[in-house]
Amino acid sequence: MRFFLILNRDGEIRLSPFAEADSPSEQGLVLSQPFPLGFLRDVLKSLGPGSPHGIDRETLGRDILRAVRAGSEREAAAGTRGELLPEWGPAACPPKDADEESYRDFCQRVSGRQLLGGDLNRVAREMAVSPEQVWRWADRRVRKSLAGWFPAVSRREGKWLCRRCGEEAKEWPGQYGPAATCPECAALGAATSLEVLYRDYGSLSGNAPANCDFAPRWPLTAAQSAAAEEVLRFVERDGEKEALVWAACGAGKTEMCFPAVAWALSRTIPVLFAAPRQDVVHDVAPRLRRDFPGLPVQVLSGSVSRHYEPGVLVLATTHQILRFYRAFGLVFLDEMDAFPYAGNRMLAWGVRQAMRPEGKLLWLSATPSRDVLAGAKKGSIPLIRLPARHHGQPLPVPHWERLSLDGRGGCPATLCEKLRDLARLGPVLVFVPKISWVAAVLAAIRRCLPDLAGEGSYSADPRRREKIEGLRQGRYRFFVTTSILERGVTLPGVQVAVLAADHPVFDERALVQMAGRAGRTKDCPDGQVVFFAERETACLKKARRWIEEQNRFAREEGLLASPTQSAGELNSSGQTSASPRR
Amino acid sequence: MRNPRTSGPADLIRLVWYWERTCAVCGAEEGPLCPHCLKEYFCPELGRCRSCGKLIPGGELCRDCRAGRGPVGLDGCRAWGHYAGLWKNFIWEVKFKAQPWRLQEIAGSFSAWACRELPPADGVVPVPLHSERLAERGFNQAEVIASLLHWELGLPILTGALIRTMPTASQVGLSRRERLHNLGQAFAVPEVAAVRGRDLWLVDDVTTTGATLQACALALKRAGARFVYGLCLAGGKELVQEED
Repeated sequence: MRFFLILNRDGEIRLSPFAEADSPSEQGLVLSQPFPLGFLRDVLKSLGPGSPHGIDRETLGRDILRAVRAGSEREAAAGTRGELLPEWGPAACPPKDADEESYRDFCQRVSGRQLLGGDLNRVAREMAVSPEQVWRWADRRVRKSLAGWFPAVSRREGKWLCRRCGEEAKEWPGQYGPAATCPECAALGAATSLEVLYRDYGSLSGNAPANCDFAPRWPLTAAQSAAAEEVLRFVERDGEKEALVWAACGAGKTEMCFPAVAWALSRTIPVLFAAPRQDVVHDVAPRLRRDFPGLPVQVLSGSVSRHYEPGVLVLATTHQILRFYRAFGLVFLDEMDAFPYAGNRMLAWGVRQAMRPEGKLLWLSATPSRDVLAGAKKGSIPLIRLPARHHGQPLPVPHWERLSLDGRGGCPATLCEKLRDLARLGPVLVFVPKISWVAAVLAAIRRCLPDLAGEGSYSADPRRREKIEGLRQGRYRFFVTTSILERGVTLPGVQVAVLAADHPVFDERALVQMAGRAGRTKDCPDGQVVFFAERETACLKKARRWIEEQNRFAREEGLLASPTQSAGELNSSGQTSASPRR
Repeated sequence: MRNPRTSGPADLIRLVWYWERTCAVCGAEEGPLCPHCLKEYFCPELGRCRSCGKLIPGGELCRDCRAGRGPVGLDGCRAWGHYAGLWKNFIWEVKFKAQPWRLQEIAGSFSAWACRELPPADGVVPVPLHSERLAERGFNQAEVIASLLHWELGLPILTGALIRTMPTASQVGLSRRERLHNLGQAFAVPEVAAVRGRDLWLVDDVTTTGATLQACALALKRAGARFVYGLCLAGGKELVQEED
């Protein structure tokens, strides 16, 4: 969208996508030709603070026109730019905006967002109004200082920087001199220096219902209650902005956050629950809807069709967060160590940008990243532990079996025998380090163990969903897979085998997550985890130490059931769950 | 026509720059375009239909243009490469994966080719995008190509000389008749003085039926442009020249 330079009667300069005066009574002048917003801003900057404009409108007008001309020519290699130069003309009258209700609806949808032109057009589609109408509403909010227009990419300190994601943009020769496009966040729509970013300063709180009904379906366990209390205390008190919730795999860290969510919503503080992967987001959504009946929960991922609904509680993938600006007072970031968030500077920037300056951030993870864990250990970030699963049994501790694999996914007979032993206890998840191994290992196991049904899958497998559904339904006795199943899967009675566990692709976090698939359900609270590797690497040792340390801590806190105590007994005994606070 | 490419130091810098580049299209061999890609996609042995720009084995016009199905309003048209394979992929990625900077890799080669193929012009006019489409895409690929020609050859870009007055549905998958109908009165010249009596290069990324170029050329001609030549990065290829 190109912008017009408008000179109002009082000498005020305004940049707008519409060549119109502020009000029908205002008489303004407008440059006949629209330009990219960033270009016009540069031109205005070049006028300099010391220009002797005063209130002399004619001089100011002449100066601006001269600067626009110079600006449009200054980058030209040969100095022979188009001779079609802009002229001043009278600004048109703005049309009357009669539909106030639709305008209010628009305000609710875009509050707290930062949107590119393409996003605004999508808002128009979702509202079933014309794109022009949405741009007019957006400009109306800018004129009221409730929002701002910015170049999506602009030059700061000699670099082109993307205003949406903070990353460096790539330059190319544009029509108005050098231009740049951000390659990092292009998946959300191209941000270029020739296009605008609309930032709305409205609060999501305006979307909050009068009453927030929190009705948890399941009582929290003793471990969850204790951690939930700590989370609530952290959220309530002033001071620290960030905290780490370090939970055991399968300990139920999501539900443990709900009391703090309820507390925030009761104070109309907008809440964001974010995760790097969309399957986690879609898994949490029904649980939040279940415990917060009647509250509109907005789910944002690449696979949802509607992105601009009003809502004070938002669930989003870490990419979608880039469309928010200072919107949330409380942010839960799940699986901080998972791809694509881990190590991604752009997504980390996005999370910070989506938070209000006074907002609070809780990192949730079973395997926290090194820097956050170091901060927690130093004491600069409060650490909240949730070391025990709801059934009160310790986490299965992996053991190492020395085994040499040929590097192409071949499967020795001894391995097959061990897999057969594991399969007697329950379905076996066989993790391999490379996609190319899946078919080879699957074929080898099928050859050695023809009586056992097996299947395999990986990220790019077109039948991935169907096969995983079959696995959930108990159709297979073994399932060969890559790291795609290392998180977010609960299978009753599952046993875990990691082949080539010393492969560099498996760090200690991946190994802990894979081991964490075993023993997650109340009916099958234990399971075997075997790391098959030629050497017991530092990562293997560290993964085992992490799991043992969680078990030790849980035992010290009295959160594990005694060998004779069942999970049900633990829940109804003296250490059981407290009802979550409202 | 003024051509800054003839200056000595600039040529030297360009030589060093290109020396180190890999092929813009396949990325595998020496650049900016490797001999294999030049032969495969830019077919120097083939001619171009002077009416629609298509790559043709011989003669002056392609089969469609000889049968009267070509674009009208253009005084000549040239498509640089064959819109297929890796070259098609390159253009697609520039346009839909927001990678306009990659066009710089072929700027020198394309400009030099255009200079050889078309008569000199007073200015370059990019095929405009409607503001809605521009907002979706973030940039207009035709404007980037026009900017490259401007930087390489010193040709003025006639900014705002041609505008798109209405959004049109995507042209993909439409017949020539549907495309022409689709485009109708989609383009306008707001200031006729900008184009009156001028010779222009009308620039776009791809031409297939020539319908978009025709609609633009007719608008420019109505406004008084003297000659309008179409220039595109890619177009179709006619394999066998049939007997008339």
